[in-house]
Amino acid sequence: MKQPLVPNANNAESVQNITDSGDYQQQTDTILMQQYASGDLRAFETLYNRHKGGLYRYFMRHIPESSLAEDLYQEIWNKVIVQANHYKPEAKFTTWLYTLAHNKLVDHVRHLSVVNKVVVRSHYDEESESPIELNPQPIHNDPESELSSARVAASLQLCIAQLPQAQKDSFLLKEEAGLSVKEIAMVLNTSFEASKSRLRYAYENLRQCLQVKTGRAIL
Amino acid sequence: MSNDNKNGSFDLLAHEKKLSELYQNNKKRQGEAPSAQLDSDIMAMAKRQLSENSQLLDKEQTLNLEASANTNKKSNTKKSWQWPFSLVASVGILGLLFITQRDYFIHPTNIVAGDAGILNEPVSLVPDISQSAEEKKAITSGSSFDAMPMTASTHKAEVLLNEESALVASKRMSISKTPKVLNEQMLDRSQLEVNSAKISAMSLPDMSKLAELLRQQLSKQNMSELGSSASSIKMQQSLFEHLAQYQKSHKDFKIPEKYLNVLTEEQVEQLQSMASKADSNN
Repeated sequence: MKQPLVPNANNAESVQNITDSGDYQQQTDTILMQQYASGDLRAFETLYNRHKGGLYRYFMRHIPESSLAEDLYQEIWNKVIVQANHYKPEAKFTTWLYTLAHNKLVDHVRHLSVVNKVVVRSHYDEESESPIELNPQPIHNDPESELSSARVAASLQLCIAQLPQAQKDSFLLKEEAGLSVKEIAMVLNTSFEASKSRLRYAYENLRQCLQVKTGRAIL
Repeated sequence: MSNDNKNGSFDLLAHEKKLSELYQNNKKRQGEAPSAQLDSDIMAMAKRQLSENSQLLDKEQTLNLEASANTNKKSNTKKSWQWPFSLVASVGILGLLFITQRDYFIHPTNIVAGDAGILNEPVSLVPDISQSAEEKKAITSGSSFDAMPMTASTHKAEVLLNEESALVASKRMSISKTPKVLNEQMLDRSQLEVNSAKISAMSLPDMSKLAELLRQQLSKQNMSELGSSASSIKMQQSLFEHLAQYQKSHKDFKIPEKYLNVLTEEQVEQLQSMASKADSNN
């Protein structure tokens, strides 16, 4: 049977302050989550708006098919909603949210591996720390288009998509979720040093990839 | 952006910082976000979950209220049965007490307040009479009646002792608490009487006991100022017959005063005449 979270005295007081002032934006994720568990829909709305972009992009960068990424994204929020009554603020809400997302992604890729093992092997070779394959795509020599930020952004997205899975995970958790290396290690269930190393490789690979795609060192 | 210096060192390098800024700028410019339809679906899901939770809470509260109401009802029923049950139990105990102690409740005057002290008195009160060492030795050795020398002092002491004992025994019998005890006492007494009647040739100690019993019976009758009962008459007759028989068989035997005291005058005269006849024949 689901037991609603009963906020302690301090939380109850802070929740009361939220209700009185209506200032949900200044509250932490944990308090918003507890407030939603006690029946406040506006608290969830604030929480959702705070994290929806990062989580959405996290899935979109991992899964090329947008409809599938949206399904997974919706499943994660569904899980957050259902487990709100059981939520215990032992870790940061963001860490918990992205742990759910990462596990969902791993489950999805395992499912895909049954269908197409070759794709999975190429995408989930976590031990592979080698630089990404710099495929010689046609580079536009038009200086105006080269310098346009839209082109750089597109190149960056292409480079991110070509990163090894472990590096991509670390990079997105850093840039989208704003997690520290320690928190990234918690989400990916690895050591601090391994996460740090993956981050270094990710940035280095992206730099080299952008240099190749833009034809010059823009960083 | 990074705060990992404290836990383990991690600082973004210069090109890493530029890359991070580039990514963040692109992110803002592209404004990549879930569609409004997706947002509304998720918000609807959150709202639905809240209503389900509230329904669950209401159900739980209703169940809790019902459970507490049932508990109160049970405790009220239990309390309502407590006092009649205790009343019935008390009446039952009193009734049982009355049935078992009925005589005490119906005839409480049978117990005389002044008689209560008699229970503390010793059964055999030995009077303070100076006795010779020879007499004491004879008494304590438990010798038979005929071996004991009959002196005036011993006779007097015996008479006093018998009177006291008879008095105490009669008083104790009158204050016996239950008829059961009385019946037992009467049963023993009648049994002894029957036995004495059945014995054809009674020995001298048996006759002595019979005489003692008869004497007690007579003294009791004297105290209560009642006439002689059939049992005492029967005992007198039996004692008389046995004494007469014993006198015939033992020509040297002289009947002690103890026996003569409990027999009627007529019986005493008959025994004396029988003794005188025997002497004349010899």
